[in-house]
Amino acid sequence: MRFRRFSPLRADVVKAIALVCLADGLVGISYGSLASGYGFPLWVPLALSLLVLAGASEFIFIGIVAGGGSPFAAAAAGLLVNARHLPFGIAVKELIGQGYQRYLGCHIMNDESVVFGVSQSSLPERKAAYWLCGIGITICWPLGVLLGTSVGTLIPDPHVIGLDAVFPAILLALIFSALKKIKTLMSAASGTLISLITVPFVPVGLPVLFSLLGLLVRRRDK
Amino acid sequence: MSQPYWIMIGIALLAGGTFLLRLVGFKLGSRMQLSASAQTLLSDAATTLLLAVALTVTLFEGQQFAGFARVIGVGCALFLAWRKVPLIVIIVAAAAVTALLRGLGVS
Repeated sequence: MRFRRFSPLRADVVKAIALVCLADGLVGISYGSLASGYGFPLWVPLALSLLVLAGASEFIFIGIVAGGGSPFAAAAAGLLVNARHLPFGIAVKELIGQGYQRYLGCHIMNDESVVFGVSQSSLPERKAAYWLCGIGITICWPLGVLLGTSVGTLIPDPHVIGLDAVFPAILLALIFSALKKIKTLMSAASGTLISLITVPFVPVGLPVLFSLLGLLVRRRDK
Repeated sequence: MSQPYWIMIGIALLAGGTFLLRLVGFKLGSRMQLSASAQTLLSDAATTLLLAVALTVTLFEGQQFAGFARVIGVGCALFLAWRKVPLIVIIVAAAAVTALLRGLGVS
């Protein structure tokens, strides 16, 4: 039974995951309406949302192509934004599973599923949270896009209802307890500082990768 | 705008490449025999990336400053997380504060 694997989760974690999936669906609606506003046929945002399943890179792809850029440049920019999934993959390797399941387990990897996964205390909880959030977003994101291309103009702008604050808020809340360890905090804070300083100067996606330099801060004292 | 054919190839490249990034990370991770300290380093790497993602999207919209409404909204969330408030309250508060500030004219 698929349902049983989610049972180790506390009720408030399940509710938070549901809320994040809902928020993702709402952003999907605005993404769908944005794409159709640019003049893309439905299959473009829908294929992206199903096959790429990484919001930020899809927005960039759509934006570049709509602006007259080549789809190759758009794919390259999107891949740069998604490069963080490689270190994410290393970090969540235990949560992904075996056999054919691991292909789906890899596909559902995104900021939200990773953060819910790594922030739980036991391995069964980590697995359950990763999969529940991952699958929830895999369903809600394309569903939102589908809705957005048809009824998009009826839904308020995500900025008006503050949805853009939800994602950083949930990430911060979930890594908060990990940051109480001084070594972790030092690496994370110095790495993030490097990212923030470089944002205005390098292409989108790279600064986040630069944050890994923060790990060098502590390697020496090993 | 480009021909549908080229857009299709672009989507295939982005989708295939993104999937490979995820899969290669997973394969690399599974292949490595990790010591306890390497495990800690790895989990710190994830935390570091997530903090960088969180603060980058808090402060920036592309390469421009995202505006004070979002920054204050996320700041409230951070305060509530420190106060050990339930996650759902944190999520709702972040959105509500940001929306309220925008309603009041704070960008």
